[in-house]
Amino acid sequence: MKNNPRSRSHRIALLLLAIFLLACTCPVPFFPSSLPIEGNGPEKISFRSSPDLLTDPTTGLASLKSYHVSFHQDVTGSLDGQPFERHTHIELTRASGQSDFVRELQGTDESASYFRAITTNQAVYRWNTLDESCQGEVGELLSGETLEPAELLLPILQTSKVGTETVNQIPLVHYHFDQNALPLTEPKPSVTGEIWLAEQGGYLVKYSLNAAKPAETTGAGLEAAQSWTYELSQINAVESVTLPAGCMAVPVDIPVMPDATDVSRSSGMMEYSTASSIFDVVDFYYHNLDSPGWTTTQKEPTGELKVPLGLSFSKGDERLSINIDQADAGGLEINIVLYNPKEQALATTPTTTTPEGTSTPAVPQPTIDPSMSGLPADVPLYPGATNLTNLGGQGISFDAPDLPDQVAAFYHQQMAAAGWSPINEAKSGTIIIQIWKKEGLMVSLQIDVKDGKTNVLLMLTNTQ
Amino acid sequence: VGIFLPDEFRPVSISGTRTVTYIADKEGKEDIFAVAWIGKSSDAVAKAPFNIKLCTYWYKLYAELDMNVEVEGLAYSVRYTVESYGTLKAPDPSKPLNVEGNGKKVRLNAVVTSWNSSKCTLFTWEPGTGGGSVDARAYPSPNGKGMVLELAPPQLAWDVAYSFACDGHGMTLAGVYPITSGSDPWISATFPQGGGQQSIKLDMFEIPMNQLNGAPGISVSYTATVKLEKEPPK
Repeated sequence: MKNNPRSRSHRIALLLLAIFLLACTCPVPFFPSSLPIEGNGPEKISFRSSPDLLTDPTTGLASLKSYHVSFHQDVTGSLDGQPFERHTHIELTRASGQSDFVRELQGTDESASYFRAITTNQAVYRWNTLDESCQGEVGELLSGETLEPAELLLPILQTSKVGTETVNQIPLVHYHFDQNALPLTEPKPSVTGEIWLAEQGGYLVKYSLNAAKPAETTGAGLEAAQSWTYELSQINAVESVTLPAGCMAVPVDIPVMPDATDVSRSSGMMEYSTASSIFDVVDFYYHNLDSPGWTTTQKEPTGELKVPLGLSFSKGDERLSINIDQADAGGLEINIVLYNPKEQALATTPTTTTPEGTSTPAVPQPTIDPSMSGLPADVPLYPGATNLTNLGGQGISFDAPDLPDQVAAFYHQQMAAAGWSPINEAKSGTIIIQIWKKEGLMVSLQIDVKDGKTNVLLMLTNTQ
Repeated sequence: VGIFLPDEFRPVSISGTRTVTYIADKEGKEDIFAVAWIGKSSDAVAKAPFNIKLCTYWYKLYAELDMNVEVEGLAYSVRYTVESYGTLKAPDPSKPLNVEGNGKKVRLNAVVTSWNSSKCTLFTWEPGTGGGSVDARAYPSPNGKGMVLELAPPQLAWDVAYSFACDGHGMTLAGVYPITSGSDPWISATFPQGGGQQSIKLDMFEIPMNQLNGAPGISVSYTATVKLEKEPPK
């Protein structure tokens, strides 16, 4: 699951490809001193420093509190006479020690790949596909797992000043360059490019490079046009990196009991074991969640406490559940769940199950033939039931034409007459619940009022 | 019994370290030979044996449903949790990635997490518990990417109830939820990277949530997660 080797190889491959491909637009490559050497990383090139040159495209970035970078590289042409394309897209946001890195690759020479890594102060979250749940864990990025896009840019050794401009309220100096500004061997491909450097700080804000496909192609090697764009934005304007919806934070700020063992933290979850008493655990969390900002309206449980026990805390829309239970190996098992019910609801598409081959009626239908209910012969469907919905073979729901008390009385009489034993019957507000058992089968009835109608949820459970 | 990736590399200095990946097809013993070459002749040879053992996988299902009810001056919250975990081992050494574990415990709890009533001066409650067993297995994804974790329909007694009393008058509420949507397996999750953590839909919570949400005074939310990892957590 660690993707360090893959990411590192991608990084090296990107850098190699960037230089190699650019060099390949001319018949005789190229500029060997810019090649990275395995084990030592890319070799640094030192040039005479000048305000009008871009000898190190990463200059000045370290002094910025926050920024966002977008990098695109498109290579289109032919490889040994066959169509060739390679598209690289990188987005990077840095803010206060946090980062959000996204890399997408696609081309004719390899399958498309996606990688995203977000680092917060103490946790790292990874995605290896677009539709994957985030994989969060305590820790830091692995060496070489991400890169600074500016490291991919070729140094510019010779420029002509175009003028000064202000972009995004940042005063910039605009330069133009061509193939003679690049560290390439002769004959060089035709290149046009521009850079914009911040007047104060000297950091690179924009970079564009376009290399033309060779005018005369030979059908040998790579003969391709290239387009590179790099843009720095939101300079010192990003407060923090935020996790995408549905990716819950690793609860790094939730304390654990001093004697905690087997502590595990992942996205939205934390678990550990403790030999402490349930009273100590409850007391600990009621006195140690204030500083992370968690509050509860629930009074601290006192007296004789029993497991399982659940505690609830909240912070804004987020909910923190602390569930205490007996551990299999003795002691207590603590499971802590962090989630946002609002995000959860947005991420969850309501499921409506209808009998196969039918559609949900827009208006209440006439009485349904009881044979369509799918119920056992000894479980009656309420007379006059409408809007019958099959819940995937586990039960049904329907609307009844009478009041909940009448429906409950009907089932009380009918189920007993059919030999069912009552397990439980309860009423809370408008909800009436009945549970019946017979020969390894359990029937639960939940009778309630929904949208002004009496709705019945009848579930069947096999208990054998 | 396996392969090294890469099986050869060229260092750029006379000393240093290099990490290689070894992928075994089966259990057994393996020798690693290291040969240092200068030009066309070997300069040094080393041999180190090591044992190859089958990986043990570990899974965990943890789900929680929170239901908040406000009716007739009574407000309370109930939490249902479902938990199952265990190790998965390969019964056939020739198929080390086809792992399984049968009869793993499933635990269902129902607890009252908050209570507020103007009518009751005394409230006591007893947690509800239920449980059973489930068969779990994991195997390589048919598309060749990652692993699939499956849990069979559990064998359970889901007669979970929680009880409370107001002014000494006891009352019990029971919730029986559908375990599945009729499908086998009960839970299936694909891990493209061979393991990790995923949020899943759990029908036994999803269906009642959709049924109950929107009812006057009731709000329900839930979260469900499965994990699949190599080796038990330390």
